[in-house]
Amino acid sequence: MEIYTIEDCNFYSVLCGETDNAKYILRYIRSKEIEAEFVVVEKNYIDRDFCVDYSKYYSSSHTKVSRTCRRIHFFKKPQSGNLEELFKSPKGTEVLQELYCGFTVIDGIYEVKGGLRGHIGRTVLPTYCGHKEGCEKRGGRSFFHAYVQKVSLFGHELKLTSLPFTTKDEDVGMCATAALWVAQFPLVERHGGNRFSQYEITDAASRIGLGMSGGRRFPAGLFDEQMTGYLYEKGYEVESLKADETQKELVSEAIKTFVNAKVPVIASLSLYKAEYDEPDGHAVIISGYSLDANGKLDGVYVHDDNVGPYARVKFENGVNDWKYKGGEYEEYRSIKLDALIVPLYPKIKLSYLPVLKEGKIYSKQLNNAPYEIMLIEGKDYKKEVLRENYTLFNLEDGLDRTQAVKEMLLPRFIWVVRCTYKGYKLDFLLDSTSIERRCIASHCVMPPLSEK
Amino acid sequence: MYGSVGCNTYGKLSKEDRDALMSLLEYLDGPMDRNVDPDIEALRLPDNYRKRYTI
Repeated sequence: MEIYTIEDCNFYSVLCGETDNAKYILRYIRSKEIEAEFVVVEKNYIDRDFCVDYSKYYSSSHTKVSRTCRRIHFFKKPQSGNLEELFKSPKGTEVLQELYCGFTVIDGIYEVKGGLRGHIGRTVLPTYCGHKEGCEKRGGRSFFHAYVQKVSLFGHELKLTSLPFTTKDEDVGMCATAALWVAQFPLVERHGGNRFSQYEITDAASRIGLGMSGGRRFPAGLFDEQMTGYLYEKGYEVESLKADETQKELVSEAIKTFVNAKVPVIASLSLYKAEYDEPDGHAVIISGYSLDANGKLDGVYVHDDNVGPYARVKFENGVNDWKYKGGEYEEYRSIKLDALIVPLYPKIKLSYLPVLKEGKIYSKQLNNAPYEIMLIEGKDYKKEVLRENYTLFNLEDGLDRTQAVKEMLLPRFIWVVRCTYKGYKLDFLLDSTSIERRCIASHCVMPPLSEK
Repeated sequence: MYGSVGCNTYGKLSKEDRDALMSLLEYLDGPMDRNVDPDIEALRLPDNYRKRYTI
């Protein structure tokens, strides 16, 4: 068992390299929101993804690359005793769970003069707002993390709810591959199916439009049609939205809608070194968003393979104009959001834009009432009604239909247009499984009397 | 009929408010609006959009 304090160990040597990603991870776990103080090193760790990449790629390389990985866990300081004692005690699990701050896997390890080098692979770190599942709002921020990661460590079973992250393994893929790798976690968690390694993703995606990448498939900077083609091949539908500069509000709304729906949104970015230069294309996953005091979207959190998980991005001049808060990409003059690529459950046939248009129409009919669009599972909608003890008054006849809605057969996913009209919350439930707009129910959502 | 029920939720709405809601419910009974909304259309990714992700 190797346990070190972060202060005293050579952190970058433990992580096999002083890379920008390693620096970001150190800053992140040492931030006041996380406050990790210890590292626990698991040597000779077998990583499922790297096993595949090793067998399909590294095993045929002349350079000796280790088949096994290193998994580095992060912990806060225990209030009493020490970590070693906690690991040895059968009763230590609960305390260890409280102290646990996630892990990073170092794979592709090889020797260099004076040490080891490796690649930062699967990394699961807590969000700034804690370990709770779902989108949590704390101080106006909202996070996206939908995958429960179970961790078995020296006999203790720990859990962390987060969105896994990886840096790109430049031998087998670039940013688009890393983004697709991240996106698959919430998709597989929710819809089932298999996950694939970075090699497998690049291999499959680069077969779409063979020759597009200038002949060689590895290493491959994928084209967007290869990314969407890959998602289609894996059984998803894809909504591609232009992040139009004239419609900043609507683009912001789209980000909120899909992040709230726990859908991984791939942001298509252009990075400009000079105004008239050909930009560099970059893909990241939007893993959360932040709201200002007025509830307006003022930034996003991204899983950026060049940076790290939950990297903070603020908007310079609206949602299209990005600036990384950590000072990353300083060599670029500007970073523009061009498009959103949104993988969706295939039975969601009613696409986002018609629903958005419906929302605008309802709002206009109701004297420009504010509205929001939600994509939600039918069962979760019922759960919310039950949990919040809402009463639902049918808009047609004004009768209480709460129980009827709870008993109603709903499709797995519904679009909800929620208008706030004269202080009342009006919900319009649209069938997502039909291309034509079909309103399943419309009602006024009333909180319990004491909360009015 | 909407608004005629003695539900206090709706009793607080003015006649104009109720009429607006009624008109929306009528719209919901009919087909989707097929008119092009230029604001919404601006979010449609053009067919020729093509980018390579290289960094």
